[in-house]
Amino acid sequence: MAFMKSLAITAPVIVLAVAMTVPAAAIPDHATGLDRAREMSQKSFDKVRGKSADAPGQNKADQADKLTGRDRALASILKGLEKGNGNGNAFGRGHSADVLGALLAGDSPSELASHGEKVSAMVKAFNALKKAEKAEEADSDS
Amino acid sequence: MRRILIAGLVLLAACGDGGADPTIATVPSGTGDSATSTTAPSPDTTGVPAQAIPEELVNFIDGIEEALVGTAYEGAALEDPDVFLATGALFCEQLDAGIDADAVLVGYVEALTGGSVDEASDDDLVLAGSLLGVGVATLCPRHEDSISG
Repeated sequence: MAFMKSLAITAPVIVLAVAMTVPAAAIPDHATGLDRAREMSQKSFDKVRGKSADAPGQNKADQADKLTGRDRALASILKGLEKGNGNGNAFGRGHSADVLGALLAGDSPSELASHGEKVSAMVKAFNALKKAEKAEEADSDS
Repeated sequence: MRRILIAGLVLLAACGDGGADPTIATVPSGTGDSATSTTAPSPDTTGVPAQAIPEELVNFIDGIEEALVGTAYEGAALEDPDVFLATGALFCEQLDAGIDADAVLVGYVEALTGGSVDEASDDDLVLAGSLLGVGVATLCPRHEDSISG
C-alpha cells in the first residue's frame, strides 16, 4: 500500500521530468552561433557524402531529382562561362581566367562583378580573408 | 585542391579565348524559377562541353544550392558560382594551412557580417557551415576529419 502511495506521488514527477527533458534533447539547442555553423557544416557534409553513397540504390524518382540538381549546377557554371565580357560576371568570356585568377589571388573582384547584396558581402569577405592570408604570409616570410 | 582549381582555370581560359560560344539547351533564368525550368546542358556544346566541367565543381555548386534552400542565399550559387567556388577553395586553403574548422567558420562569419559569430543571422551561419561542409566533401575530402571528427 505504501509502495502504491509513493508510486502515485513519484510517477507524475517522473513523467513530467521525462516530458521536459526529451524535447530538449531532440531539438538541438544552438548555444552559440558557432554551434549552428558547425551543425550545418556536418549536415551538409553528410548529405553530399550520402548522395554519392546512395546513388547506386536510389529509385528512379530520386535519380531524376539528383540529375536535376546536378544539371542545374552544371548549367550555372556553363552559363557563367557563356556570359560575355563586361556584364559583371566573373566568368565573363574573354577575361574569365583573369577574373577567376584575380579572385583566387585575392585581388578585388568587386569592380568586375555586379552581384546582389548578399553575394557582394561574400566577395568582400573573401577579399578580407585573402588580404589577411597574404599579410600573414608576408609576416612569416620576414 | 590546386589541381581542381587549375583544371577550372584551364577550362575557363579555353573558353576565354573567344571563338564559338558554349551552348546550353536551357539555363536557369533566375533565382526563383531555376529549379523547375532548367533542363540538362547540351552535350553538343561547341565551346566547352558539359563533360569538361570538373565533377567536383558541379557537385560543389549542387550541394551548396541544396543546402541553402530556404535561406536568403537560395539561388545565389547558381547565379554567381564563381564566388562560391572561390570561397570553397579558400576554406580548403585555410584547412591546408592548418587552421582548424571552427576558426575557419568564425573567421568567415566575422568577415562576412562584420560582427561576432553569435550575432550573425541564421542564414549567414548556414552559409558558412554549408561552404565548409560541402567544400570539404567535394573540393578537399582530405580534410574530412575536420568535419566529422
